[in-house]
Amino acid sequence: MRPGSISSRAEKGGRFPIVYPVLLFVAAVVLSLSLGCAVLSQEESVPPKHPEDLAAWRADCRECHEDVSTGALKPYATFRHSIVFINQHSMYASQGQNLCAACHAPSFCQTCHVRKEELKPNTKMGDRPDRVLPHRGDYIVLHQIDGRLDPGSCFRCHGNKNDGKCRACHR
Amino acid sequence: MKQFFKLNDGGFAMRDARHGVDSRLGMGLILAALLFLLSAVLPAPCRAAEINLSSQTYLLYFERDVAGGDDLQFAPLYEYLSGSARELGGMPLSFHFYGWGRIDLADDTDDDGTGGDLASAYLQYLHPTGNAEMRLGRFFLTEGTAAEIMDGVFLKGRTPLGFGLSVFGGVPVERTITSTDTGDSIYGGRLFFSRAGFAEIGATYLVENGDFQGDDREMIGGDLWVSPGIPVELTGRAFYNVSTSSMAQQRYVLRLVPVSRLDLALGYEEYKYKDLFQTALHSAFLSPAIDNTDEVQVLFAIVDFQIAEGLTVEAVGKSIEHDVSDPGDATRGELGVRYVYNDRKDVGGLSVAIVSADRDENEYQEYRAFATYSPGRWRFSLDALTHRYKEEISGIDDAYHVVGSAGVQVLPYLKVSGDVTYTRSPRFSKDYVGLLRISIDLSASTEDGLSGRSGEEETEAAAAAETPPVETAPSPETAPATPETELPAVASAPETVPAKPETGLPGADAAAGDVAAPPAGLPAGEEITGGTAKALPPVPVAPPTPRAGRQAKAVSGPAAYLDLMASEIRATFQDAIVGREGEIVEFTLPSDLVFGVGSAVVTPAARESLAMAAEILTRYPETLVTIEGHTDSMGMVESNQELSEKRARSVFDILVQNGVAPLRLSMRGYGERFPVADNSTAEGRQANRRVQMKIRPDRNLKSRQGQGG
Repeated sequence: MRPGSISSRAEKGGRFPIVYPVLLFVAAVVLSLSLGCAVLSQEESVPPKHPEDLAAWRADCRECHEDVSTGALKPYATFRHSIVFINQHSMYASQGQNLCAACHAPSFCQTCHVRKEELKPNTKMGDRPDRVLPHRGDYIVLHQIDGRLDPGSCFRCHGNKNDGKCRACHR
Repeated sequence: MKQFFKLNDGGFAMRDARHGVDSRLGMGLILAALLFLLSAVLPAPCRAAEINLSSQTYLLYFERDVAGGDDLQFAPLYEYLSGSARELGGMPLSFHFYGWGRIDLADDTDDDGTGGDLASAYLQYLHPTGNAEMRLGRFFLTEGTAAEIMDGVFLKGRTPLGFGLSVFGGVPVERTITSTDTGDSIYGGRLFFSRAGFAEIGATYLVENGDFQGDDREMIGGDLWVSPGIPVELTGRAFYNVSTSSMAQQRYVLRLVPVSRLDLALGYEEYKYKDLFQTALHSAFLSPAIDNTDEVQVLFAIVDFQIAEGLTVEAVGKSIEHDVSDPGDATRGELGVRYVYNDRKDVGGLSVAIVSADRDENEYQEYRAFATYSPGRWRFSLDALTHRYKEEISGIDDAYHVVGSAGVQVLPYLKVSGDVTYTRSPRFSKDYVGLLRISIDLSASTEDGLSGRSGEEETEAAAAAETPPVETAPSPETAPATPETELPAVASAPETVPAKPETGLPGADAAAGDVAAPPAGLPAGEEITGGTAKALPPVPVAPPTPRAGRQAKAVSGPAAYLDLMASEIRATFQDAIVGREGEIVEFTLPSDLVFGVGSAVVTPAARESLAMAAEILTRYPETLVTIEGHTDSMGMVESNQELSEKRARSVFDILVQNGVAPLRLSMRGYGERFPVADNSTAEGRQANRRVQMKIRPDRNLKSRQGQGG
């Protein structure tokens, strides 16, 4: 433990009281609401909802849009839902979820990204073989191999959340 | 704590007999439901303008051998509920929630038979500018290095210089079955700079107070997106673990952003066990069997190449190298093709994946084939998968997994489907799982009651609504909709054949039983309306969505302006369809009346009519107009695309020649991509050949509507 770190403070005096961050955020909320609008960029935000309902197949913004999304500040081409994008989606989501949320409800992301889930996504969507869904097939056996090869890929979702099934054996 | 394991089709589901449903979950769900209902019954100024509610019910049945007995039966019933209430009080404020619960209809263990989770429930404010937002409640947040589920607050905004800041804080809710190990608090923020279309770079700081191998979870992360110019972009993400004083994980990807039909990425990722897994909460990542000093380097390449219309090849290659020999290195290659067919409603695919590893126990091959088939309101799918292991596992070296599914859209908002899954693997000798799935999608706008809305099949239902029923639609023979037909410029002789009711969709009355019912009680002026004259087959327009009522209500200022303009256009062009959806007035002209067959030259009669349209547009200068050309699906895709572009251009030119400011106009050719009716019938194709003007308020008109909105 390094002296002076937040963690060591927490060790000494028990857990870091939750009241500090809460107060900090109340202050931040008040401050940003009073100052916020004055310092905000006047560029239009991503609209809360895509004005037209999109079909169920993989979206390609370029069918209707060109150039750069003024809201998400990235070219629409970036968001073409190819296998490359699907693999990279966390990168784009980490810089802003607004464009995702214009079409996807939270329940879409949280089909996989949850703290607790008992049904595999491909069980819930057994009628959607076209979707890229993790853990198809005999995953009880496969996870042992994938886990030996690249445990980091498991960790992202099961390291400190949604580990109910992991804990059944890994106690 | 007494725990039961059971193998369900997905693997191990552990039940916690003591806790059962997290007691806070019940509270949370009740709170979420109350908030949600509240938004519907509040007095008008605070009420939500649009409410969506979606329910997925799954009933599973399977038999298993578990510790404690053979052939035990299980029938868990899962209910997943999600909803949103938007534009609360007429502001860009919304409430979202998502959660699930389980009860066991049959369970031969002495499990208490319940479970559940509230995944999210939060209020969100989205500011119209600067991508500023606020979230309050339980939400899933991805912000720089943070990918968290928390009960707390999130604030974000961007300044005019391009710098932005986000802060978040609250209580982490990422823990699982044992609720006792929840961390105390989590907080942090991200500072970023972005320039549209060029770069975004961010730095994140995050602390979670808790017991992570006796330490907090404290990290500093960086994220990067740079596009020196289309078609190349570079992305990167890295985080430094402050508690272990070391770089934990890095990932960099060079992507060739879709150029035509090719999309490819080359990437590198590395992580160190001791630094990444320090924040793990269970032994899978920390077991003594794992060499904690190991580091992993992964090189990967991904390719997505559309070789023909609807046909895509996907390839993923990965090389994984460990610093220590155990557990060993591997190369994984995956190649697949996908074919989209049946008007893009269905997909089929084949794929092969091969893992070649230093150690035999890590080698396997995977072969997969799947296909869907959607005739009408039915949908069938089949998914077959097999794995071949190089080294036998429990004496078996292969596994099979087959899922068959059949579903039917019973009502526009109700879909029922069932799956049967067969698995044969080293773990299951013969395993069948049955699943019944009921999906309900409801939505409502302020003035309506809840009305049905089909989810994925929406396009299909809409298409059904749009296709004029045979008995009411004039047949192509009786409809003199030839290129020579003059487009009557003035309301003419509607008395010979009465036009359809003003508020009705063309043909919607007859088809109403089959399609998404238009929300009841929409004010006539706000609904998409279609006035069809005698000689024309009704040209379909998009069916009214619940949103129509909401948006029109929210824009009382521009609404009147647009209403007036729409009524003027409607009075002038009896043969056109004039629709209104929210802030957009849609003015649809059948191509057959404007152009010759296969031609982009406007007929002299139509030229006069377009001049009159231009005259109306000049009298309503505070609008912007997008001209869209559409064709039917006959002929080549490319030539249709070209024709639609040329036709849009012709209309554009005529409007400009007649005094409409070019700056107000934009044009697009969409080819055959957006049919509004079935291309397999003559009527449908005729309806699909069209030029549409989408007229929307400009910035001035919008701003007059009231800054509060």
